[in-house]
Amino acid sequence: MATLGQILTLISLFLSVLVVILGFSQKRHLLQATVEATSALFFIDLAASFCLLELLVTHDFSNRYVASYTDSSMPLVYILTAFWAGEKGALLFWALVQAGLMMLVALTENDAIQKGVLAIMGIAHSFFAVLMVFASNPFETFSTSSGPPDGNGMNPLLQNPLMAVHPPLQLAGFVAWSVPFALGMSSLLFGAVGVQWLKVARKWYLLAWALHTAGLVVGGLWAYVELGWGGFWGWDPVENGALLPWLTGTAFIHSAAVELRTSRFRMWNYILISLTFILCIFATFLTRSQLIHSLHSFQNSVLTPYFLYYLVFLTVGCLFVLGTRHKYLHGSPKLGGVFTRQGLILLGNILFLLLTFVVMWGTLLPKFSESKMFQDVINGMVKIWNSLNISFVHEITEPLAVGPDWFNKTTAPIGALLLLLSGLAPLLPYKSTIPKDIFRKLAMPALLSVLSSVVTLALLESQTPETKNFFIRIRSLGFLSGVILILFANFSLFVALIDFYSAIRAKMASANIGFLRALGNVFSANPRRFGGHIVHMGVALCFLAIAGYGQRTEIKDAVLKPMQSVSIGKNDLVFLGLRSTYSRDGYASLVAKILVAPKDYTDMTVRLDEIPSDVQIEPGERPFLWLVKFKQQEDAINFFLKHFSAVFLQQEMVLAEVDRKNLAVALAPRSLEAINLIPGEFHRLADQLKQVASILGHDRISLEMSKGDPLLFLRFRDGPLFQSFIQGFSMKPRFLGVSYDPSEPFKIKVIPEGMFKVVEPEVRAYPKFENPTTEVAIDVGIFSDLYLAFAKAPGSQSIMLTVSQNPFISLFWIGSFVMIICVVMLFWLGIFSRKPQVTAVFCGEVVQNVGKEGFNA
Amino acid sequence: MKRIFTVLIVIVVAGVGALVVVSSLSAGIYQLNIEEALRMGESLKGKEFRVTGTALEVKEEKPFSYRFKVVDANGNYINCLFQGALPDPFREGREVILQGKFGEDMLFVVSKITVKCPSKYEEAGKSEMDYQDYYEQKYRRGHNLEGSL
Repeated sequence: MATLGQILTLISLFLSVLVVILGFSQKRHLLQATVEATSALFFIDLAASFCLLELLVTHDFSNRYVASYTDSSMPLVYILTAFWAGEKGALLFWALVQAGLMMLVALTENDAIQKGVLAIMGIAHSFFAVLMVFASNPFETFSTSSGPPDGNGMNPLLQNPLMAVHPPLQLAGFVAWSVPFALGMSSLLFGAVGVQWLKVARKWYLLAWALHTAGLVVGGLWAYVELGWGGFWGWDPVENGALLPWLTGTAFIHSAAVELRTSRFRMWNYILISLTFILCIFATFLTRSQLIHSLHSFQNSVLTPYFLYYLVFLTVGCLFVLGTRHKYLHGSPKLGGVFTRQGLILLGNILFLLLTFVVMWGTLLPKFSESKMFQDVINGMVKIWNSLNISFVHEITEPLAVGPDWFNKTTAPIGALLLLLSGLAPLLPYKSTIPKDIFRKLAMPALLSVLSSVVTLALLESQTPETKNFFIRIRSLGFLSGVILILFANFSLFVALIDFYSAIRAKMASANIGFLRALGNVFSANPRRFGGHIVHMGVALCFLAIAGYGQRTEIKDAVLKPMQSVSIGKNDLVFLGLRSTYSRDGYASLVAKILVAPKDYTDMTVRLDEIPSDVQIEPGERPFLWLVKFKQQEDAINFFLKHFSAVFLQQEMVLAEVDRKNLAVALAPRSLEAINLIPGEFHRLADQLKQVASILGHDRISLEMSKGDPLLFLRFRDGPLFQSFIQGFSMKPRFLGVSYDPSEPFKIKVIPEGMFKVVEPEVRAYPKFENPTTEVAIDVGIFSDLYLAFAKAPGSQSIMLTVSQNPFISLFWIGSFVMIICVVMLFWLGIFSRKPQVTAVFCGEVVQNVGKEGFNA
Repeated sequence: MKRIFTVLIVIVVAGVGALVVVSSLSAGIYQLNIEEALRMGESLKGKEFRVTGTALEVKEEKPFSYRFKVVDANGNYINCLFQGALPDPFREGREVILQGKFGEDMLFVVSKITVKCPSKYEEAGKSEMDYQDYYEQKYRRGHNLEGSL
């Protein structure tokens, strides 16, 4: 199978070179051959992919790739996703998607367009085929041995459903930008699509944008639920790398809309699409090379020089083509003015490029600043700056790096301006300047947005425990920028909503139909305009989430012993205790049980069954705590011991032996795997019992540990104590927590079950990975998420809890979902709509509206 | 009119670009190796910087408070103090990027630890024999029981 795969990759390289040669030749009769070669290429790549999947599924560890990324105990779904989890497999996946898109272009576009486009996409495919054949072949086998008996397994961080879909989406997004790029380039090189290439390219760049956005968002969601630092974007070099082409691509979508309407920005659009495609390759280069230190980086990749050459080739190639063809690229003159829609879009484009610059500068600064020459140039600038006496900046002498704070502060104002533009631009006409009724158009959304911002802010305030007055807080820059973002986001939201609303009302009145049908009609009559509105609404929701996230409350590193609590926002969080389990998926987890109890909880009824009538129950100092008061200390201790074994011991330990005569028991851990996998876990269990013994007094209970076996021996002083302990093991726990303090010998503190929520963050340990992984617990709410992660110091019962309350964060996922779904829908409409009227120049002849059979007929 | 706008836009963009550069310089954190950090010594006091090296002699003072040394290939070292939960992949002998400030007696008070992941998920650079050993070592791990209390 591996040999077959190697042969297939070789054929794939041969075929992609063939497509390039056939496509670049200007012979018309070779068109059919180009298309056939493309189909063959796709099926060869598909066959190679099946070979790799077959090797993965059959656990053929003689294959290096299979041995590196999978093992025999992994669930099937992650074995399948191992296809793209590693560098080599990702290359094959990349080639497959590239060939698939080429095939799709061949199927949906007409002949005039196909040839040049296939040729240029063929170059992109050839690059990856070259990498597979000469540098990094997924079908490589061990040369001297038959391979290890079992594979390495997959990094546990990647064994997550989100991580299963993030890489293919991100890669497919990168690859999909090659279609509009190829269309643009072929329109320049062959004149095959003429100046109207954008009409054809539209659906393709929408597809690329949707995939790219989905890739980024799923990556962010993965970081949020898996990495445990509490956010979704950390400004890591690899994240930044993927963001760069997204920024230029988004700019391109907007300026392309202008060109489609007014024929302006022609050269600009060619530059943007080239830049976007080059940045996609640059992003991959950043990931694979060790250029900037990043957690994501794949180390010592042999691919670095290849990517570097490819980047140089692409850049020089694009510059050459644009340089030689620039005289054909004069758009229609006259920019109507700054205060037209195209003026604002131009402004937006500049802002997007500024963002690209900011992100690129911040990402590459550590690398740049290593060079002495760069330091000298910058220090020269610093001297000029310091002579202006605005602020004093130190000269740089050593490599510098900037952190997330700098990125946040620098990108926020540009982002806010873009958000404002996304609300303003749709109000203005394309060409002519401000119409007289602009203020009337502005007034309504402006008024509504102010009102709804007040509501939004009130909601936000209700989610944060701030006691300071609003007017004092507004003076801080962080809060002020949050308020501005909320205002702008609401404005953008209402501009779109009002336009939708008035269009739907007009339609309902004129056609006499219901709301939903009118909505459908309005959208399908002008998908471009209303699709844009929907995407902008999604953007506005995302910005609301960002504004809310900026006001999050965070408690870092609270050290808690069992039954201790910390308060955040309107809740008390009580650390109930730890529990270890072993999962059938092959890992052990240490679970921290955290009770989330609202501070203002007032329900005063509590039922405690099986409690003698002479016992008093009264509320404790906190709403979640209750006191059970006994008349005699021995009763209290028996009650405590019974419930302690019910609540804390029975889920982790079993009674291995019960010696009723000597009042002794032997306890064994429930899961040996968990004990083996989690460092210090058996000590923790023993420690738990040791503490109880010391609280109750060693004369009552004595503890011994077996030598060699994981067993604990307990001996009890009297019968009732022994009975309570045994009883606890067979009864259903009635409390979430129970504690006893010898200084108050008649009282037992209990936390009743069923009144509050318990969330359970985990730390997981995998047999083949030394590093435990943190598994976050998120209590998702409508207005805010409660986000918890913990760490445990070895050999202690206490944990370090990191907890944050993140207001509005769900809006980010909702907003992104809205954007992506809407753009996918627009792509769909583009694929199935009638072919645009394209005037094509092919081989020097003008061909009108070339059909699928155009040249053969 | 159009010229003026173009010039204006270019000036504004250049100005903002300059601001970005200047702000990055004042917000930037020095990335040093151990030798450089030791050489700059006192002049770094109170200034946040990053240093890369290997973590050695990790001692737990009390729960969530650790002292260790960060060492380079030439044997230069800096004494470090970290309070908080160590990141998952932190181990003695791992290469780490530490961010923090010099405190009293040139004790490096670490605020953030980034562990450079060893080439564990990639077999690149390992010979086949290494790879076999590596695999066996890893597989044996974890199956010996904890010692006695």
